[in-house]
Amino acid sequence: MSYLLETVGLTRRFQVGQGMFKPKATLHALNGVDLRLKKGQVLGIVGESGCGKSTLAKILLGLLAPSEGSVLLDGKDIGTIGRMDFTRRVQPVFQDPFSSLNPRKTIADIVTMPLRVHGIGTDAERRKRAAGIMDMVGLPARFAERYPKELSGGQRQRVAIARALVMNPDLIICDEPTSALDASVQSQILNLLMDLKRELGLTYVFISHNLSVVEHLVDQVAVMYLGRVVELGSTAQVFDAPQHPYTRALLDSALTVAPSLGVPDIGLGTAFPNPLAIPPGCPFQPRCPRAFDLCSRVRPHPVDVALGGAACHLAEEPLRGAA
Amino acid sequence: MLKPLLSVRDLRVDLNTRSGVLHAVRGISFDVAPGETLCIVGESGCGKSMTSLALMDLLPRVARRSADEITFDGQDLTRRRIAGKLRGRRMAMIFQEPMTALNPAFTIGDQMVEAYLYHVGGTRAQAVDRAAQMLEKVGIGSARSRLGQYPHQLSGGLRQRVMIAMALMTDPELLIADEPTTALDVTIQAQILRLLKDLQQELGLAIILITHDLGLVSRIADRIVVMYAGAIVEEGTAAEIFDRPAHPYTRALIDCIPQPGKTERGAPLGTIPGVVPLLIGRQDGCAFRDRCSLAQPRCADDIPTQDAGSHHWVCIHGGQA
Amino acid sequence: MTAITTNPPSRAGRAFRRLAHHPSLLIGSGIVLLMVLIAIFAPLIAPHDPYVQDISRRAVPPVWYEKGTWENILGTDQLGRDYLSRLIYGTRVSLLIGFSVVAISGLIGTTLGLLAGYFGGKVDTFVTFIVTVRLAMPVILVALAVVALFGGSMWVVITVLGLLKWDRFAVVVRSTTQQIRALDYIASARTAGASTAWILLREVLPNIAPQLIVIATIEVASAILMEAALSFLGLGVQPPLPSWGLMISEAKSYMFFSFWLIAIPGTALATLVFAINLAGDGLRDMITPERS
Repeated sequence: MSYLLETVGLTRRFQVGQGMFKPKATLHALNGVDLRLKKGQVLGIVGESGCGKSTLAKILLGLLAPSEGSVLLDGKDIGTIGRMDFTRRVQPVFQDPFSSLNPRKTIADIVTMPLRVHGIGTDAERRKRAAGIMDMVGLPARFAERYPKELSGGQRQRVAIARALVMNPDLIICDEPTSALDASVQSQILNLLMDLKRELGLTYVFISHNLSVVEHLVDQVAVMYLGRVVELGSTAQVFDAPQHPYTRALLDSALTVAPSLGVPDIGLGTAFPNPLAIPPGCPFQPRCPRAFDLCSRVRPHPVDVALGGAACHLAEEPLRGAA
Repeated sequence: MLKPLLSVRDLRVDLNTRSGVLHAVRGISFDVAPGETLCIVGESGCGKSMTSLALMDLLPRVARRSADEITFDGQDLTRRRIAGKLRGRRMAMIFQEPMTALNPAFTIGDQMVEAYLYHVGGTRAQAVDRAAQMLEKVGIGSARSRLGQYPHQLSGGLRQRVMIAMALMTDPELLIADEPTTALDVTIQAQILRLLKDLQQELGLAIILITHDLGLVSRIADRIVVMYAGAIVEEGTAAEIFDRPAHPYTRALIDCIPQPGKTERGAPLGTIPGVVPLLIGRQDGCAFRDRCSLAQPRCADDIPTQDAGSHHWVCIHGGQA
Repeated sequence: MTAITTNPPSRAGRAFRRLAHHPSLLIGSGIVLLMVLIAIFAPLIAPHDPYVQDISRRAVPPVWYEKGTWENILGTDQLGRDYLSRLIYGTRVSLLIGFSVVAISGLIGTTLGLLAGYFGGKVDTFVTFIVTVRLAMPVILVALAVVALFGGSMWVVITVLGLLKWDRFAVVVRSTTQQIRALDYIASARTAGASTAWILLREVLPNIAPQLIVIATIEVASAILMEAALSFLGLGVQPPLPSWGLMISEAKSYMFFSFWLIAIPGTALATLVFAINLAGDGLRDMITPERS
């Protein structure tokens, strides 16, 4: 089986200054991340801030180079693909539609920017293409000559989507695409993303902290904790039968509409994950309500990208017993 | 029903803008009972934040507040001297981004102590004891040493806990929280809200929580006020609002969010066509009628409030329409 | 105005309407524009040749004095040259120096600031270092040394000031670029495959243009004053070229007998600098995002 997107042992370290008199520390933003994504599928990435999901997005977009490991697009290392070919195939939709559009450019300029960068078409052809794309994402043609500040948040996010689509990409990296939007606007953008996926056969990596949205939209989920994938599986596997205590805590803390449930006690304690001092053994062990002696000594096996499952001693035991 | 702790009648907030007077809050009325959680929910621009700022007298300079009545425990909050005595002491506020509400140049201990000495008095040692006690109460371990830390040394979740501890220093009866967990991770959010709920039971605190997050509201609210375009469109208990939403806007808004178990995965979500009306100038009739699927010509006339016990809504349609 | 609001007004139309709200900009730029026109059409406006000396008509006072004549409205200097004509030609020198210096320093400062702000790291450290070095050099003393080496002339003054006065451009452009670099529209351009040059010129530069314009006005005024100071010290523009600074310098020995010889070029200098600063302030107010 071939995959549109594959990451192999993706690792990214940063050197972080800790003040003038202390040596620089190494921050492992990503640590051996393996992911696979088939064409036409949606992979959701969830986790708390600092779990490495934004670093992952930057690497998948080619904005940041991995320290180790590789990203494969259709089986080819993106380092060998060539920047122009790569940018034609992979495009972003960012979180904040107020910072993702250049305030001094018209909407038409913004949408046609990738075409101009790649030297595709004449001015008239580009404008025609922009008009077609704008229509597809539900932007009235009269917006072409307007400036971003004249548009609402939802309209601006449509512009960002139009810009991402103008080159006919295969893969869209959505980094919290609706987090800055109101509920009624969020649903419009999510519907649009689902429609576009069907119509154009797009593949998404969908990064979000909103678990209800992820559950609604994605086919597969990777749960990340301190730079590692701690649980991976289909939406049904992960959301209906979570194996990792962290996944369970995340799902419990998602406040879905349920007036009778009240605010849950998720039992995580107040220890805050520090990416500069990842504990030995299981990284989640200091916060884990189900930790036992093994957890502080032995690091659980990483998730097998082919099988899915959880990187947790509790999840490993029954498997070993069966084998 | 208990005698309300806070009563608001016909509260209006007008903002002067270049294009004219913007009526951000258009005559809203509500009560908060002692020990109750009232959630004010709505989308951006609905006036919910202006309402909270108006209650605390923290409106921006371009804004004007007027009201028939704002009383706290029977005392008239529209009078500056009375409001000044109550604010920060018997009513406190926490904000979305604690980093902007905490002064980065002072330790959290200094800030907590200063506020206490100003409002309550007593000796410095008493105030320090109280601060340490409150930090422990909000779940911050080794409280004494935390008092000497600066805001930037704390994580976002801890900062919000410090904000809550600081707000509770003077043992207030009402806490106004404006999107207190929006900037936090879901796990931290759940913990902070759990903490607020526990503290509320322990201290008999009334809470006004302002948020756009319907899921959050459904979990924490005793009563809910739904705002649209500066006005209250529906008010009721959490069960009434979520199980029997009466106003078409409330219903449409609930349909917009994916609900695990209820919404089919991948199915199109509900949407609300159109945009929020301009809040400049007069608004006759129902402000939602341009976006409403049930709109009729008479929606442009004065809309009567319908009542079903504690459940009210401002719409010509009945609860099950 | 109501007719315009139904259609989105054109860019120029909106700019013009905003201009009407900023009287300081209107007055400042009006005076500057007038001075530019005077400089361009100096040969047509000046009543006399500014270089022709008439020993028989030395130090004639302006027309409003008892001994003044309409022949020389602002009188003549100690060599009998028509003062009005020299003043008019002096506008050319002042504006030429002001704008040329800023063209050079703006180019240097903007380039350094863009590179430092965009690349950060070692590039930033290097640029910050040379900004510090530059700030440690007193402009007047350096100019003195250069003039001592190469002799004084208008082009030496322009070159020296242009090579020295880029620091403000570099500092402001650097910090603004740092802020813009972190915004997602830069990331979007990068993920579209845009080159660094494209990003700097087409995405960043248009967004720092407002700040650049404001600094440029301040720097033009400052360069004009510096030229006057250098010329006054005899290190700048050399006689017989008419420069306002030089006119003041030449008049200083007669200031107790012929006060107007200093007052007239002094007033012209003050008016121009004031107008440029007024325009700069107005521009800054106009481009600062409106608060609603």
